[in-house]
Amino acid sequence: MRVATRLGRKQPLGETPRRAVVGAAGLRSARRIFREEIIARFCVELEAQGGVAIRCATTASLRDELSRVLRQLSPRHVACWEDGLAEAFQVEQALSGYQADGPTAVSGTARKTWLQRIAEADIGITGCDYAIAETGTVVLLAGGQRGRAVSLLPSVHIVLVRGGRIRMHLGDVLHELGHLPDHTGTTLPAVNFISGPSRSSDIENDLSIGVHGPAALYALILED
Amino acid sequence: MKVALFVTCLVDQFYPNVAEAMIAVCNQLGVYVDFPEAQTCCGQPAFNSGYVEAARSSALTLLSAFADYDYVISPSGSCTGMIHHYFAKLFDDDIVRRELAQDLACKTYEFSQFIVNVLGVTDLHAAFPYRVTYHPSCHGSRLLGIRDEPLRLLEKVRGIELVELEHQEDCCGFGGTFAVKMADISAAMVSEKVEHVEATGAQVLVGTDMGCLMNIGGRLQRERKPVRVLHLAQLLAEGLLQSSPPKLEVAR
Amino acid sequence: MKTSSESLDLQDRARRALEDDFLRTAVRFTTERLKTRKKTATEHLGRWEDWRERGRQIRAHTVSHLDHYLGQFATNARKAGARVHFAADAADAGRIVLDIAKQQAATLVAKSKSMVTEEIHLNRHLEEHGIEVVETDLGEYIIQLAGEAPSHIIIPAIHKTREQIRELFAVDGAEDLTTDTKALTAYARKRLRATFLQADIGITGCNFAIAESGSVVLFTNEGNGRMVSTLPKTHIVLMGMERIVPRLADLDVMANLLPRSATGQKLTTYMSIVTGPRKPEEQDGPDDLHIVILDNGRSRQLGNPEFQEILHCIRCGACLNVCPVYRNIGGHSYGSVYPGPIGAVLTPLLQDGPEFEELPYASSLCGACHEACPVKIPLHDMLAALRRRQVEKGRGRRSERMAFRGFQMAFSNARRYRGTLRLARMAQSVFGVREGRIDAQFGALRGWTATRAAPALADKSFRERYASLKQDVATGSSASGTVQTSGADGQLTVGQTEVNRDE
Ligand code: SF4
Repeated sequence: MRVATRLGRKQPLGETPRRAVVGAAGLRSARRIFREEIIARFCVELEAQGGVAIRCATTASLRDELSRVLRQLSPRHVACWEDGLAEAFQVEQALSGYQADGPTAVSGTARKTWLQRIAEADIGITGCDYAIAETGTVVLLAGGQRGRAVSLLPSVHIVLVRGGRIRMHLGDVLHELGHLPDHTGTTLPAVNFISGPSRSSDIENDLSIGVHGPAALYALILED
Repeated sequence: MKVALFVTCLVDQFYPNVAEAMIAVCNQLGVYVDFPEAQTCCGQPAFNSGYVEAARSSALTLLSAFADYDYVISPSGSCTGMIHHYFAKLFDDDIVRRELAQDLACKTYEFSQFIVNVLGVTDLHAAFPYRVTYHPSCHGSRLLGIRDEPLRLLEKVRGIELVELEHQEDCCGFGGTFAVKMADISAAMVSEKVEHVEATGAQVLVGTDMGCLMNIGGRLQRERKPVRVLHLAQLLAEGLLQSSPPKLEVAR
Repeated sequence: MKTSSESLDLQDRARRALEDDFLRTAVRFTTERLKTRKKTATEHLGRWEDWRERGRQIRAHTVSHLDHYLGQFATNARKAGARVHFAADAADAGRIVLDIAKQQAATLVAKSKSMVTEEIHLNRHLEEHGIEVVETDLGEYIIQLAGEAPSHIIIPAIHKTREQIRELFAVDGAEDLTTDTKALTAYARKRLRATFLQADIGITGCNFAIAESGSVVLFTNEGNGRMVSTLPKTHIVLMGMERIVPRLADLDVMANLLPRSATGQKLTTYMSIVTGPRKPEEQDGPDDLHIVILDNGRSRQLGNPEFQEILHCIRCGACLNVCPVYRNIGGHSYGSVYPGPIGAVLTPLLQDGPEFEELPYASSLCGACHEACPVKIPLHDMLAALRRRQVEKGRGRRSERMAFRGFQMAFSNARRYRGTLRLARMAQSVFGVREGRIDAQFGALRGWTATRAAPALADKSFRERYASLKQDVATGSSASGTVQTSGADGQLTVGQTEVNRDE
């Protein structure tokens, strides 16, 4: 192959070449960080990106906060991950009355209709698998019944975060992604890192929010 | 110590006063400076235009001129940078000359770096009661790595009022043949620089590279701006004349 | 004489840009802002120089083992269900994409911002075959409506005023639009939403590709990148063959370097890692994922010690933002897809013809680009090397060749140098010229004297004055009226205690 020849090899190198260091090893200080600091930092950074962070001490208060936000925004429709998220956070009650019925099927024309339904929702509610304190980021892994469009098409994205899933740095999350239980090097699911609402500065440098993706991002953080 | 002056062709032909000012400052510190006549030019104008052979042949004159000295000092961060970064590469295929080039790079210093880092002096007891702004030349700061040496020398000058130049790190648009090849762009760059110089309200613009100072000075002159343009060595030498301090001897 | 007409082109474009006040103000304002934001973001991270060095190491390691990592990437991407295609050049890539589109009977393509697709003029190619292509990045959409090319690799419509944008949108079908940013953005959101949902194919570029997992990584802010890679049935990724990093852990470094250098963000709003098409149980995501890996002159740089490093580039645009030439003339003056310092190096390397041979001269070699580059590419050295290559090919301008032949003759020997310089000729052709003594064949030098006073040669050069200077020193009188020295041998011998010595 041309590339190998150019690099002075008869054949492409078979074995993965060794390196002294991989990734960002050694670039960050290795001090121990406590949960509280991580949560606080996540909130500060998310808000710096234009997101809203709401800390909730218990599932009950998370439910109340969610109801309050929904009342405030008074959406016609809400779309939510259908992977048991509402049950896990015990918010079925808060959501009742907002959710439109529709297909959850995944193929052919049914998928178009499904997407259409998500596109018509004013709010999309998702969970997240990780969050990153340093950058105010939530990390969503795609999977069955966890539609990617739910965090993308509605004007408002509400994400439910477990305090224990927040990591300090991007590197921590990437490390765990590399060691997912079923990760054999090729089965990584689609991963979306989201830091605040959609933004653009393309018109005379003037920042505008919500150009294509959601115009608002709420993170409800369950602390315990 | 045996110190040689690498005068650079621009100073040699256009600004001999700068070289004399350097000698005066060195003398004040008890350093005698020799001028080996075999030298011509570091070859940078040719090198940067892609004429490597021409650059090599003028670089050779420096290798032979300075072989016997402990230190070589020059009034230009750019020409010094050329010696430091490109001379060894110019003679890549010639071990003897490459070693000479490496040796030369190790002992060649830009004027302010020599005074501050080699002689260890920042206070010359000079006096210069004017409002002054300093332009750090790109090659001096980026290529050679001049940091705050010129400023440390200037800060100690009696009566001086130093004002910071906005956007000082921006290139003045000289760039050797660039100034004639891309004259319009270069002109736009130098007018930006002159605007910034003017905004400081400085009476004097000081620098460490005559190429840039010739460019900025030429524009100031054309716009009839009453700003004097001086090489750091000239400012210090003039400051010494003003204060006439007792002579210092720091070097043997 | 092709050279000089080319040079006129570049300089004419530059001259026009220099007269465009809005353009200059806009570019200056934007680049200044990005520069400041980058500074804050890098200070916030801490140890920026160490991060840069690590970034350089990762890129250097990957590129010098590209044969291995490219193979590993392709294998893993295929394992994940992606279809991987190799394209030798622009025509090849165009053909591959068109074939996919035909198979899908596609009529509408939604695109997110990608410099590689600009490089191969993909839109034009698809449109010639009756396929509608819509750019969905706000800035790209604006310039697509205007029928222009991007003028900055991160902020493509940097040169457009809001009034111009309003007019473009009005022609596009918007009614009663004000020039308010919110109103303009809202129009684009609504207009393009339909495109996302209807498009048959989504095309994106690729910021990084991960060899160990076969993933493609996209950095975007508006969300359009996610839209086009999620909603249409088919997702096509166009990537330069050098986009690869070995491992997910390496993405950590790149994700800290790229957004901070590009826009001063800690991370872009969206970073998506795409590995293969959607899994069977998923509700959405593309059914097919095609990855087109483009060479188009890249592999030619491999193994070339002077230019291989250009493949380290992560397309952050930081070199544009600090470049004083770019700031003054804007992106379009370069006349190439990639503008600024990276464009001035990359373009003639990818396309080795007379077309772009003036580009390496559009720089004062000030080195600001090298200093700003997050992976430390020595762009200024490459510019000089490209000039050398031109000279070796005999492509330099005749007057310049003559001048440097003269330089070589005169400057290789101090005696000849002294003699020649007495005639003052060399100084005129190399450095500047005395006013009133411009020779017609050195017409280019007029550029200097038109805007700047030129210095006159000193009456006597330093070397002519040196002998008498020594004499002056010895007798203790003043030399040349400026230098006062004393002491028997030019040394000043009075000891002093008040010397300020710094260690
Ligand atoms: S050359 Fe460096 S600074 Fe310029 S775009 Fe590439 S990575 Fe960024």
